[in-house]
Amino acid sequence: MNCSACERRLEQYQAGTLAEADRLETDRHLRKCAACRALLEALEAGQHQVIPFDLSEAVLSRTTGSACTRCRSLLGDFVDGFLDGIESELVLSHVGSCVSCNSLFRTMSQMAEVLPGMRELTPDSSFVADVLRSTRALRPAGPRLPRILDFFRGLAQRPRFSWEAAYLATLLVFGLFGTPFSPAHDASSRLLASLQNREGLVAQADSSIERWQQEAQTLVSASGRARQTISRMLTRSAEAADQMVGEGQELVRQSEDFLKSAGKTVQERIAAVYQQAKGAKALPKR
Amino acid sequence: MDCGALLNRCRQGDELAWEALVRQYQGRVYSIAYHYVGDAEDARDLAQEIFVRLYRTLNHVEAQTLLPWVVRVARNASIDFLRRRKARPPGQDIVAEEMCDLTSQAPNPEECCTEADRRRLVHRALGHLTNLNREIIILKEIQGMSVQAIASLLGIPVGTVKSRSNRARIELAEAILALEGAPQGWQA
Repeated sequence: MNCSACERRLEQYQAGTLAEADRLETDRHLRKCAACRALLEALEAGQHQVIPFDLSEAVLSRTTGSACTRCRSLLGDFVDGFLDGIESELVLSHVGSCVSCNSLFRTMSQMAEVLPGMRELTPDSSFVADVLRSTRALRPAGPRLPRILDFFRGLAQRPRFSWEAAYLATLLVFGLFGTPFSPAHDASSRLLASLQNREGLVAQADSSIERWQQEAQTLVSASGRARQTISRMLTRSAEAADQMVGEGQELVRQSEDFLKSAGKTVQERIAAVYQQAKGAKALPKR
Repeated sequence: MDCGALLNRCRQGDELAWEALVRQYQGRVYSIAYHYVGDAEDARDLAQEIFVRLYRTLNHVEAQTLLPWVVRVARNASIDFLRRRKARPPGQDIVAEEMCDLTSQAPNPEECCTEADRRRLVHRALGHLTNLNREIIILKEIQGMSVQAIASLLGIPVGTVKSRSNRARIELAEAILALEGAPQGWQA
């Protein structure tokens, strides 16, 4: 057994949980190795050592920092019992060791009992009577349109409504048109002026329409000329195409004639050669 | 009593029905007003004003949404009141006897006083919170409204309400500890 294997077993050796064979082997190594023996003695002495109270805080301050912020972010859910598993255990562990978080936890736990009890507070006994007195003269407000319709319906159903309406209408017409101080006393002259003004506008509109008509006619004639030009171009191109087709046909005919004459010449030449050959064959043998 | 029938009778001007409605909701309305404005006398006047507002708008509410509507009107009226006063709630003390009038489930006077002390302390601590945190404590922890309803009422995202809720409770607990001057925690 080497030293590193012994070091791995030391904790179990110390606790007495090693198997018999392993224990004997470790015993043998410890008898031989002074370094491992010294380590075992140090571990045994450390069991009875008082841990400094601020050791964990000192370690945290040099590594991750305080865990209070994280704990506080979870404290609400912890108090409500919404945390599960390891998070709950971690918060509980921190709360058990941190004084300030423990105070917060205890206060929040009691708040959770007290706050719902503050849902209803009873005012003094005359409160309801005062509210009823305040609302006695009121009526609950309904939707606006039906209320307006109800108002006018009630107005129209009054007994002398027609007389009153006629009287009011007469007053209104007289007030508007009948006196020199009425806002609409010169309404007729203003109406006439506006009508005349309207005639001028109509004349302007007529002249504009005529101008637009002339421009439209100009456009129509221009488009007619363009159409003629296009048709002429089309005609010329058709004639040129016809001429090209005729020339092509003529060329084809000439080439056919040439081929025919060439064929005839070749036939005659073949016949002549054949006759010569035949005449040569008919000569008597010597 | 059936809430819909009560509402219908109130709309028709039945004073008995309206009285029953006031008695049914006075605790909540007064509690909201008191925790917002921080003063018992102001809260009483404000609660009256809230009921007048409720009465004027009875035709605009459905029976199913009566309680959320009451809370909404009470909250809005309290905010209006604070705006008018242009100051934060002072967080004044109220006498212990007055707090003993609160609707309490304490079985005996001794427990009632202990409970009253705690509530008084919580109320004073509420005055030390920021406006949003105080509103979240009042609406969520005291009135028991859902996160969604609070988000809708305050016009802020649901996530903000959730994250703010824990922070508000921590802030309230710290304020309580500071007021109590007890570093070892809230003494029962």
